Amino acid sequence: MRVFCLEDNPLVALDLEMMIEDAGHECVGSAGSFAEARSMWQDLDLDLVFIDIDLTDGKTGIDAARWLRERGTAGCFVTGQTELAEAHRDLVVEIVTKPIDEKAIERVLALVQQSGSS
Amino acid sequence: MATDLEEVLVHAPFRNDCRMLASLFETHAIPVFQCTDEETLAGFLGGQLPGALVMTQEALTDRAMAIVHDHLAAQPEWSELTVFVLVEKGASQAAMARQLADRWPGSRQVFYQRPLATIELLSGIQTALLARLRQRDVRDHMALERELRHELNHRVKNILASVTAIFRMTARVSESRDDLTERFSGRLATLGNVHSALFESGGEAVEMRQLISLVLSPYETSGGSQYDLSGPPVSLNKDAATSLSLTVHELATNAIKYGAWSVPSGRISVAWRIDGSEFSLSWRETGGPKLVEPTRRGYGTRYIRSALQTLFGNPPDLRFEPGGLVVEGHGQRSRVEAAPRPDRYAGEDVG
Repeated sequence: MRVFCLEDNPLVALDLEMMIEDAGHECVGSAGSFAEARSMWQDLDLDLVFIDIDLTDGKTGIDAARWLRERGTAGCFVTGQTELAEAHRDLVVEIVTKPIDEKAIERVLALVQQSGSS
Repeated sequence: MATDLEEVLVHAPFRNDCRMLASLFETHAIPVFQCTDEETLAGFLGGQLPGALVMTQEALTDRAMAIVHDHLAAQPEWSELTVFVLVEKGASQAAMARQLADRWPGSRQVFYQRPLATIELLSGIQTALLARLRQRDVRDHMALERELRHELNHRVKNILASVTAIFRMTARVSESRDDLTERFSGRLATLGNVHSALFESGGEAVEMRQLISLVLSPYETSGGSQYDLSGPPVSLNKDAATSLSLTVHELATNAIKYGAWSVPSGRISVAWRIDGSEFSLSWRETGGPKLVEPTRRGYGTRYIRSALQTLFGNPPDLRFEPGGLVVEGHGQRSRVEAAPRPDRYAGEDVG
């Protein structure tokens, strides 16, 4: 699968990238703000996006999730903002809280892959 | 000061008490809201907080008592209203005081006997209005404290997320427990040093030169690990400071193991510049051993690429030149620079 990380902390972004690769998928890019990500998403054919809520351009992770939802791309919140994430649960396939549990990321990857192939 | 004072609400239904009290306050620059019926009283107290409340004894009907009671029950927790009751000569103040204290928790009652000593009344009102201003200060402090606690919580979570990520990534590529301990401690120490530098400078900015020195200077030994820095003063924001210091830390440890600092003759030059709205940065190793591009998926170079990509908004250039490693990156200066700090105290010393 082709996966993207919307995360403004480069350490966490890289950690996620490695988890994605270890699970046998491809991380095709990352960005720290929704504005930047949106300009990159035009040309990418994505299967899943991991979305942090609090980004360099504000709490725009919610807008990002909505944007992806409208275009039929699966999103998953990866965030410390649990309340905000829960309030927008309908926009994503799953919510993973920080600090990240690698098993949770693996489960989401498997879930999205399954629903994509069925 | 007088402009900060809130209105004194006067409720006096009979004779021309209300107008007389109002004109007394107004001549002493105390703002007043006049009220001679209970509808107006309920309207004012239903929507705002008076600076103080003045009521004549005959205004204390059951209905008026209930209106004030409801107002007091709904007032914010920092608020305590002073109520002045103007009592008729010969009335039993003690009984009235007991009754009002029961009915009106969240208020302070002051009784003045008529005919009024105006100086006494005015000074009582002034004191009540100043107490009100202090209550508002307390409210502002409470709000600020809430905001700070929220921000602190957010930062701690963010730091824990960083530490977890560093640990997991370090563990992934470590060959032994000693290896893991050494690498992880080094990275954690760098994160700690940036935090200290940011804290000492007030929390939001740190100088580029100071930051790079902070990371590189521990490696400087007599006759080895030489480096030079060149560039204009740049005040970095906290995200840029964190990313750049961790990047430089990775570059430095890499240089010690494989690069310029693995031999006595090697040097490292860190240079940065500002051209208009653009900030650019270069790391250049010279005099080191011949480098081969690492094949193993390392944490260091991946972190450098990822961090500089996030920081600048475009990927950095990493080249393994014959003389040593060269890393170059550039991006909008607004992405790395701290916002100018508003001078909160400007003008306060005037006068």
